[in-house]
Amino acid sequence: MSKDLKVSHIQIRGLIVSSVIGVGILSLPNILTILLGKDGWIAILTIGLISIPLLWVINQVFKENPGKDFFQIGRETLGKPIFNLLLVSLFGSLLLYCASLSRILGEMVKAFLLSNTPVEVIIIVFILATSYIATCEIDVICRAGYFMYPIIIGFALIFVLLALPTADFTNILPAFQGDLTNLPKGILNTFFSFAGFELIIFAVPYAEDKKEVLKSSMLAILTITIIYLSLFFITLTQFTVEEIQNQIFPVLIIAKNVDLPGYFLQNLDGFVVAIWVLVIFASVGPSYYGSGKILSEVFSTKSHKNFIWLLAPVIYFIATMPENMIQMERSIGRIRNILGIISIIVVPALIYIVGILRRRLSK
Amino acid sequence: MPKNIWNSLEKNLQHIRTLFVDCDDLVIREIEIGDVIRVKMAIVFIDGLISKDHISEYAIASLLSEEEIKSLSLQGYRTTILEAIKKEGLATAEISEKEDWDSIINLILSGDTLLLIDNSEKAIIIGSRGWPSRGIDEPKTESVIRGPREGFTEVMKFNTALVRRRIKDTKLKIKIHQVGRRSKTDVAVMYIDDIVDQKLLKELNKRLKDIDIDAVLDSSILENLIEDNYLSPFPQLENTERPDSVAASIYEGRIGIIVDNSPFALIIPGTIGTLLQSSEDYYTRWFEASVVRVTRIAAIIFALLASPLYVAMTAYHPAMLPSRLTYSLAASRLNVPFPAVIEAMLMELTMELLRESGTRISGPIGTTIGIVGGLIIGQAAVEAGIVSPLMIIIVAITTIASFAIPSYEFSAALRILKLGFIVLAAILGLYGIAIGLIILGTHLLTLNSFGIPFTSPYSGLGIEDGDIKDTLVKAPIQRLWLRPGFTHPRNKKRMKRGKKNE
Repeated sequence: MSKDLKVSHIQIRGLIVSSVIGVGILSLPNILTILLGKDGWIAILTIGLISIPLLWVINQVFKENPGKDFFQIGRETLGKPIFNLLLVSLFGSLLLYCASLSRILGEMVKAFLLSNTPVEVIIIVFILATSYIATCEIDVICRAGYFMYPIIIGFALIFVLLALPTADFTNILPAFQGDLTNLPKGILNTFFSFAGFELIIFAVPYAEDKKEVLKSSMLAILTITIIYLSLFFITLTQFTVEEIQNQIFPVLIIAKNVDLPGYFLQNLDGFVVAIWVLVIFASVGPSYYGSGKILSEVFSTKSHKNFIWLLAPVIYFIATMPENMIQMERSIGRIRNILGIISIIVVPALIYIVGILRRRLSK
Repeated sequence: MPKNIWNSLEKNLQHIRTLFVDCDDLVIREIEIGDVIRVKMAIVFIDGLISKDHISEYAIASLLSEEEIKSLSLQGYRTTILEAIKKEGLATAEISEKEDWDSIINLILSGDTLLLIDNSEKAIIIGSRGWPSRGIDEPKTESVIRGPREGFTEVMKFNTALVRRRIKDTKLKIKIHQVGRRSKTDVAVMYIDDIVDQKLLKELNKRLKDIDIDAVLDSSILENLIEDNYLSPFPQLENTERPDSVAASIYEGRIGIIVDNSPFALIIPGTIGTLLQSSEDYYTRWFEASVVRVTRIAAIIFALLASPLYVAMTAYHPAMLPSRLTYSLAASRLNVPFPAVIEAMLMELTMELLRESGTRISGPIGTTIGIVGGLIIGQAAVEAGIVSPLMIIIVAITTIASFAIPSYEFSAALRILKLGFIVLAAILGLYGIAIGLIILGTHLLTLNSFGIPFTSPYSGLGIEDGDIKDTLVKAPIQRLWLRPGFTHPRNKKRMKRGKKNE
């Protein structure tokens, strides 16, 4: 690993928040109310809690192998063939994540900003713009995350504040009325909204203050959970459950209905989408970088830049393959979730457990 | 080329004459002194680079005066002539002995005077630099309402002295490097030894050493040679005409660089935070300074995005504006035959022309160009129905905003990138602007200034969080008791924490 790259724990916090919060936040209330009604917050909270031990495991793996990057650790503990197989699943999940986000972005921009432009053009332009940061090294990715971090929090705050005057808090209650048998399904779907924090595996080895990383990343997950919960509740206060179930992006509809004080702008949805393009960029960029990095590791090349340019048409192809969003969720979304679970839960856990066993045996 | 001088005066002069053949500004004055033994000498200098009075009065006159000759002839037996002249023959403040041709020629070309003595192994160099120069003047570009009015001049020695006067500390080091194979430009690197980050200093010295160019005429050339990314439209070093601002930066743990023949000093590292600071901020009260700093951020947004947003709004998203504004906008654009992008490009290019011609011609004609261009063309364009009045307002605001940014290079970069944003907005509306921001943002994030993130403190390592108090706003001096963190100063504390005196 190259020594002159350095990141800080605060940047890692920013990286987690900005790469996790992307498009999921806009559609999460819709998915959760369909499955769980008003009890969707249980799913958000559960996933938030599940992420904490995962973060701990990732952090522990790096603690026990100081001075090595993720690939070195994986190769040494699991052996090259098995590790490469697991890398393929991580690669697949990251690539599908990029593709599905680009597609959703395309649909969103088409719906709210550019009704006459073909989705393909929107997606191509977005992927090309994002490739630039993906060709950079991890320190730049972390700087981008840190830059977006206050913007995301600020936006969530503004959203809540703008919605408060029209909020009807009695809508939130009653709790625990829905059908909790759907909970596992709800959790699985929420999982996509929390994907992205595994990207810290590329950043942690370069952290200057490793002791703070765990605390910082926990804080990041806490922030994300709070933002998700508050936006979920705010959506509930604005619409009835049935209305939310019929909107793909209920959060954007709030923006459409809200007028800024003084009427400087009407229909904030367009502006929110334009700024959300930046937020989605901050989540696609790191994943795109990660998938390029994995390829360069598997083929043991020095730089990952060429792979980024090679991957651009692949992402475009996957993103434009499904005919509509529903089809995409059914096909790409499902594979992505399965691969995501393997790579987020299984890979670090496996490395951790095998690492412990190896050390025991060698003693 | 021979390495050292010979002890024959004739041979030495012959060598100098061949080196300086066809250089008619070289002056050689041969003299002979001594009663008992006649000693031949020659004085060599470049006309115009030395203070002639000084050499005539304190070197030649003192050598030729009678008493000196006597004492010389008496002592001539016991010690060498060179020693004698050094001890008693010269009445100048700065002399030194040199024997190698390289440094002798170099010193002559820099404005020192060479004294060659027959039968001597060494030559004497008399410090006599003095050339016509501009006096210390008020800086032309960074004027302040309150604060010192001294600005740098073209003479490096004056400039370093102006900084030294503000830092009376032996820890202020002034290291002089020579850059440029032919120009041999003096470059002074100034820093406070126990504050500056040694890594930064090492990196700078390495980059200065690596320079291999024939001439460095101005600090801007040096700037291009040592910055991290020379392809970027953004400057990665700060430049200033103000000695107080160099001194303040040195106190912060940064490094000042003064290049001979340039009234602009360089300061490294330069970040977005420092490029948006003006020395005025530190001389006015914190409240006003804070408001001004936030205004500058707004100025950046205006300078970059006002026209693109106009194009995007009128062409793609009129529904986003309040309905009344949409109506009045549509009404004002009713007679305009062009799409918004042509309108915007036309006006921006006109503005660009006005600015350029105004810069080339200063004084009364420049003002005339401003009035003719700004008022008459604008008015006529609206009446002729080529552009809408709102466009004129937006272009005017954009131009004013671009002048509110303290760093000229930074605002120039934004001004030109704005044209790209207009094109993007014309093709893809607000989405195009977002894409432009992604690319521009990524570029800014990749930039480094001597290893320090250019976007610091807004997106550095996070350790510079405290710097927000002195970049986004300007806190009272009592609250800025630590040096900014982005330079990694070795000594963080700069003052005792202040209390209110009430």
